[in-house]
Amino acid sequence: MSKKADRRVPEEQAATVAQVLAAIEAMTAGDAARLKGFAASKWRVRGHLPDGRDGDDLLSAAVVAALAGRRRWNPSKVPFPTFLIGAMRSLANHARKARVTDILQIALSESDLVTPEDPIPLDNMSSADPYAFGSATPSAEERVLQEQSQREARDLISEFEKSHDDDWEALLVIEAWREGHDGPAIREKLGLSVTEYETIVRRLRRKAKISHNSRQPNAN
Amino acid sequence: MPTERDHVEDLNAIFDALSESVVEESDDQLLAEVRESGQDPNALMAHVKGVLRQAVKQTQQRPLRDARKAYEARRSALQQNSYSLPESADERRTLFMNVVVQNPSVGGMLTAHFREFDKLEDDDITSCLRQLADLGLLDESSERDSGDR
Repeated sequence: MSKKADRRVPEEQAATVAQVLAAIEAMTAGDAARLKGFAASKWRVRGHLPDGRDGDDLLSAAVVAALAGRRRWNPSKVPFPTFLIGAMRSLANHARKARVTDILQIALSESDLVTPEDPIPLDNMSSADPYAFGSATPSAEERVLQEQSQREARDLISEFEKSHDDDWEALLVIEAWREGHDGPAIREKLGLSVTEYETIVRRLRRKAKISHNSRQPNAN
Repeated sequence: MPTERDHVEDLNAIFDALSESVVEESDDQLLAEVRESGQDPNALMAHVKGVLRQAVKQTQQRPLRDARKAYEARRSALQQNSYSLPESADERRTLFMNVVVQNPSVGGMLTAHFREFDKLEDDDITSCLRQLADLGLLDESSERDSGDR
């Protein structure tokens, strides 16, 4: 029986705390804008409305996972911002599957959840898995919370779509995203060039940020 | 009957697509968007670096924090020990001297801290009795007393 290859960075190649701190200092304003933009959208809504922390928790969790968890960074292979984006993507997806809103808990508990056969077992977990964290059969309280989350999500989507009321291209892209299509598939389906698609997405990002900032008590 | 739409998953899909859209975007475009939203790119950079540095610091301090939590939990458990000591200072002193007599090793150990037992203040006696209670020595002493009668 073949053993699954261990994809983890060997400990001797993993970055030290000093290397992580140096990489943080070396970051550019563009790196920071990308990281913040990614984190804020990735961790804005997980069954709850944005609470003003704008993805900072996800940024922190990615660093914690690198230093205390199983996600080692190899400085000779991957730039630090790229590593952080990969870690944030994975942590956010795992948190969703585990139905956990405390992202730091995911960053720390991943180290307790691995097995020799599955270095990152949450990668293999399906959200439909009845043995995923959280109950397979929701309690009455959980059902109430789920219904509330559904209402809030529906209202947010409706608000977002209304903000693009006169932009049919943006509405088509939003619908395609809801159906799970990615950029290349959407461009092919709608006959858009790369530049045309990117222009529409920039309009969507701009409106999403305006909508989000208007909800925050202390927008930064 | 059409399946009910999962709005939470739809919203996740929209924001996932928005988050992924910044990954390949140029620095110039992202910084222009930052300025358009009224933010200063340098202030944003300082903020992000601060968040990351703080996360590094918290990770380094985690073993110390965990050790302190464990210590405070043990200390709290000691203080909540429900053994009830005699109400009067005289009774407490009598109990203490009985324990010392019945447990010579305890007497020897305490002598290292206190020269003369009869000069001990009530606070010291009370503190010693609580620690002796946690060691189970007060229970043993009272069992011996009732056995002797």
